[in-house]
Amino acid sequence: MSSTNNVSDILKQLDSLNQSTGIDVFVPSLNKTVKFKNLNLKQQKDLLKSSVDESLTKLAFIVNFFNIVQENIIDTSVNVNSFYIFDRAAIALALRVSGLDSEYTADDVVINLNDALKQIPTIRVTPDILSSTVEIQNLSVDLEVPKLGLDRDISSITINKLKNVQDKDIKTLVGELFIHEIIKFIQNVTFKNEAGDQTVSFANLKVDDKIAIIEKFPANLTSKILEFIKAYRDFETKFTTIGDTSIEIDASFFSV
Amino acid sequence: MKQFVYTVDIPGQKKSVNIRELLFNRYKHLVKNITNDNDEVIARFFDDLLYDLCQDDKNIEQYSFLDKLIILLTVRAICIAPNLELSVTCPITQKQFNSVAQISDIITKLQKLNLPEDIYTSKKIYNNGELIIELGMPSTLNIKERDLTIINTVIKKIFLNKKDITGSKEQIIDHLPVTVLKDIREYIEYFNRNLRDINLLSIQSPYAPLDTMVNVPLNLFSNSVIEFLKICFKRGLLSFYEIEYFLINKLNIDYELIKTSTPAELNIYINFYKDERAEEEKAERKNNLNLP
Repeated sequence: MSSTNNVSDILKQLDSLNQSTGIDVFVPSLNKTVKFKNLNLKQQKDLLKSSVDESLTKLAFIVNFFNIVQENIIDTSVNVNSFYIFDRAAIALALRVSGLDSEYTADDVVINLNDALKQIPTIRVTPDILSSTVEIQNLSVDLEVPKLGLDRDISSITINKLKNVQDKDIKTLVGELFIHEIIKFIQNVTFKNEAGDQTVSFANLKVDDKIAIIEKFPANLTSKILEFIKAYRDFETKFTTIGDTSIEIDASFFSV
Repeated sequence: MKQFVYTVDIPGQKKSVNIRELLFNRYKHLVKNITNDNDEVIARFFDDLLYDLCQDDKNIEQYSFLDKLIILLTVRAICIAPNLELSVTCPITQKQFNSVAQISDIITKLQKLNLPEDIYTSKKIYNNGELIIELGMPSTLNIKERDLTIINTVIKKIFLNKKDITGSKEQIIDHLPVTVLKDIREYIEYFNRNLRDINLLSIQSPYAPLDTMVNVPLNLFSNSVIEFLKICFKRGLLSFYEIEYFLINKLNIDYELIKTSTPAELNIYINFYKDERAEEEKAERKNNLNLP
């Protein structure tokens, strides 16, 4: 047997070992348990490397972690593109506990992440959390909590756009991150007029076109969108809070 | 013709290794690298040197840093000089003083550390024995604790379904389950706990109270190993050219012989010349005294 065949045979055996040691992860949006492979060393290294790139760490983590979810899901009947972004916390917690360590320290407080995992199935996911429509005068905006795939796509574009912005140019950086965050939540924009309603689906637009549209929104419409996002963020926090301790799910979460 | 070799016992491998001589030319290149002061390049040079000097041992790259250190110190003692002359600064008074250490004492100390057996080899079993990984002391002479390459260097052997797949380590290491990392972290903590109080050298300052020691710790993660090796092998680069000039012009020694001799051997020629000159000067003085 040639050495290439030999290595690919070993990799297959390792993959089947990783599958056989798969873990059950409760995915909140599906309200059921899905089997995942544990992280491997490469995935762990990639996560750690992305935690070094300071300003866009969170976005790099989103992109990296989506790839991990896609690679590690064992149940092929489940489409990871249908997962919501709050599912990420549930999956990350399960992978961290199973592969690395169940202890987590924040502000000198040590918590057991198994407690967070136990509480996840008890958190109710209601339709009003997932979507809403806000209206101002002749404008109507359909909002939805982003799916993991959309979050990855926009984060990836944002990284490419902002990687050359100097860290010291904080205003530009924060402003751009803010606007890219908002567009993730917008599904459709409908302009109502006498001739009939004109709906623009954001799914079919380029990121820059989406930004161009929302920059024209009146301030009170943007406020309503932000209210929805804030309500969602409060809901999302339930997945990552134990007592008074908040768990930061990013690349550093996997650095133990 | 079989080359001359000398031997040293290394605890990690539980055996003796045959070492070839470090020749003058190679030593000059080592000193050039040390003068250039890039630790990564220097560590690589030492690894290449070990590979060339210990050709009977094909997997010397995998030997622990401790075994490598013992071999390199033996090379230093045999081929360059048996003692290490140091200029030390007293930590209390900041006064400088000279000290001499016998390299053989350091080697003996490193050979008799009496470390627990599982520091040398620690077996970890996963998935009911389907995957077995043997961890051991890092092989690199220069590494940082948070450097991810440490993973590769502490994994010594991998068995998958009872088959030794260590030969494919570089290609498969990334595909190992992350649970391995937890064990690696615990192993490194254990390794640090066992080695943290060991000093390569402890020198008493003559300018301070009796218990004031200048220590060179055996700490792989604080650069002290590579720094110590640099001290052991460092010398003025110009001195190499002076020796070459002297041996060729004054002693008419062929450059081929210089290249194929150890620095210690070349010192012997120089000492012969010095003794000869001293005898000649003595005879001259005697003749001058006998003049009418």
